[in-house]
Amino acid sequence: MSGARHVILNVNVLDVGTATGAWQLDDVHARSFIDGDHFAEVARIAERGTLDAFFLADSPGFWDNPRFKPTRGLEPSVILAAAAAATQHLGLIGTLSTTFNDPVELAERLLTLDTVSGGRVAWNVVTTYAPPAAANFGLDALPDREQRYRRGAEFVDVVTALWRSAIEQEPVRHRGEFFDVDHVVRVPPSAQGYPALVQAGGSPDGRTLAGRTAHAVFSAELTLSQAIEHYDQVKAVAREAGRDPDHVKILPGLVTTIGSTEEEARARYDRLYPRASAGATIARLETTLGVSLAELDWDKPLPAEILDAPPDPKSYAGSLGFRESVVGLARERALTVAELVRELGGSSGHRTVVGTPEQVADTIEHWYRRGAADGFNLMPDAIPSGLTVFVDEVVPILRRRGLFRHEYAESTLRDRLGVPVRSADRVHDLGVAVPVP
Amino acid sequence: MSIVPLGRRVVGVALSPAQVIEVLVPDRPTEPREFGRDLDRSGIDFVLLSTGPGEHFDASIAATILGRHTTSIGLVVEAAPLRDHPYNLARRLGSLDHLTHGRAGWAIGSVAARSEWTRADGDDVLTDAVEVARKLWQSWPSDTIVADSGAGVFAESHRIVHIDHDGAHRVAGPLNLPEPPQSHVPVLWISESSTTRAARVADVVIGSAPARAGQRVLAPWRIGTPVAASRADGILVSGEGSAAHVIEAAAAQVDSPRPLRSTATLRDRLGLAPLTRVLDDERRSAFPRLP
Repeated sequence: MSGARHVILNVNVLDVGTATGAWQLDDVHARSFIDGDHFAEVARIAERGTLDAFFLADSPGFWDNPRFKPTRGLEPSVILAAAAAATQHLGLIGTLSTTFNDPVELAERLLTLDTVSGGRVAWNVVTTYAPPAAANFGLDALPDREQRYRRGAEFVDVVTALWRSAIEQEPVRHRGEFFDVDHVVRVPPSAQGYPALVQAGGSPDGRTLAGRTAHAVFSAELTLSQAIEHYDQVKAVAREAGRDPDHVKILPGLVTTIGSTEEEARARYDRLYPRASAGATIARLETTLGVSLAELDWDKPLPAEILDAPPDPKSYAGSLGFRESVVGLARERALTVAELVRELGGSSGHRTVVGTPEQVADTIEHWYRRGAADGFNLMPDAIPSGLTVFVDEVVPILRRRGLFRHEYAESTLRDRLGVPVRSADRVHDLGVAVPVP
Repeated sequence: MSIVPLGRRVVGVALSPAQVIEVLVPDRPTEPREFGRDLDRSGIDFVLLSTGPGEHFDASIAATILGRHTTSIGLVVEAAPLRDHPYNLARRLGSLDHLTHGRAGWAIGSVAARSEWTRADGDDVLTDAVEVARKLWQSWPSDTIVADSGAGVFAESHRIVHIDHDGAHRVAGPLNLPEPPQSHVPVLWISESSTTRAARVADVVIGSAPARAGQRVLAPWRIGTPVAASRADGILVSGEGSAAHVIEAAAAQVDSPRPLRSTATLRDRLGLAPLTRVLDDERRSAFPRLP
């Protein structure tokens, strides 16, 4: 391994971009969000910029209303296969739910993708909290949070064991609360053995699980101080679990709008995040906070009872991680409801930079050097234009500052993250055996 | 009638799991791009990617990679809706159809197996899964995507509907993927047994006779055996040896290639008639407009 430490940069490919108005730009067409050529082009741009990986969020069911902007459409493992066919080095990270998948099928599909891509895949492990999804799988309601996390932990355990079985050709015999498995995977192992594991660990439980088992954590951090606090927490959990803390990379989201001047960037931001999208922002904020905003005085800060009270785990349909970020931001800057809505327009709890390439590079460097992040999950306002400007303007600055690679050195994603497959030591976590990944 | 006169023989080729691995494993002598060009040039109507208990690749991933290296050949995925819930399968097959501009196909053939998601028996599971997929593929109609910049409306989402299916599987829908180019990805029944209901709901059966009137029939042909005279609409070629060898043998069976439209879908190649909607107009909107 070379001595140089680099900032890790992934691109979170939210179809045609994070911004509500991104679909109206000239470099995309109405069906770009379901067009293989679009995703292949985005992958090629990311690879040209020597970015670490191409990341896809997802859910097995509708989450947002596509009335105002495209939503998730194509299934992520299929998009990643298209991206794999177009690239040679770029990492490929996809979100697949442990709530509505089968561990044997998922293990074989992701290992296939890993093998055919030359060992470039990581799995972003999530549980599904989108209520519409339950009804697609024959359930009247989502299993409660605790049950989802128990199923998720067992699911990851089974999948990891199945991936090892592909190497060792020894059957996995597992009888647990959710899964009964007697199977050996007959998919050829990849150049990195099997995929790495990523988690979106935004809640306290999520950070604990990630610290113990993940190779990277995707988080939503609105403030530097919260980011540093969470960074330290996850690294501490890793140490306590007997892991090298450098083996779990902390990667907050970073929403960007870039212009040659700050004014130009502001103008682009106002064009891409029009006021008309406030409805979507409000809806998202209401789900995140678990309350209606209609009865509140929008010129006053959010009431303490909303900020302080944890939501009822049985009925809460939002993301605890995002909620923590939003509450932290509202408190730290004493934002009124109106200011909070404006601040969050489209970003859903992620740090946003609207400015010049130097300003974007400064934020990345500042957070990296202050110990708030090992890198970022970039969320360009519009794709491909927002990614192209990042690759053409920001990456060279980071390279000049010695913060980013000039070319790919390692060929597998695990090598790039510094987490090659090792022999299993089993660590017990709440009664579920969790292999050291 | 759900088929149209073809005027030529349909030729499909079934690659064994070992042959699929041979084509796509890294550091192989031939690039998949080159293999893809050979497939397109051959005039073969579709390649079927089989799965199996021995060494194999996931067929939907394999089909996507080959789909990105080809422009005209059909790509049929063998996938059982057993560990794969029909919702997820409909989404992946629909996605493959979008990524290949209408060249995806779905092959199923095993009734003697259990689903992880429902207690219904094998034949019911397969038949129901096909019905669920066909409804889901039409739940987000293609023409709802209006991309009206002036009005700020991307999609007329009030016309996206729940399917409210209640059979061996209970699926509310909608599918969070717009209607695939083929609307109905063709279903091929590849089992020997054609007396099941699942065989009858398929668009194409592999065998000597249709399971129901109006179904496309392809006779299986093993390379090295005599080509049997039959009244089938075409053949499904398979054999031992390298993938290239099997492709070459299949290409030799293609009638002097009649150039198809470059936008020909797999349904076009199979001569399947255009479809009617399987969802009636009274369905529940998934995103009702506010008054």
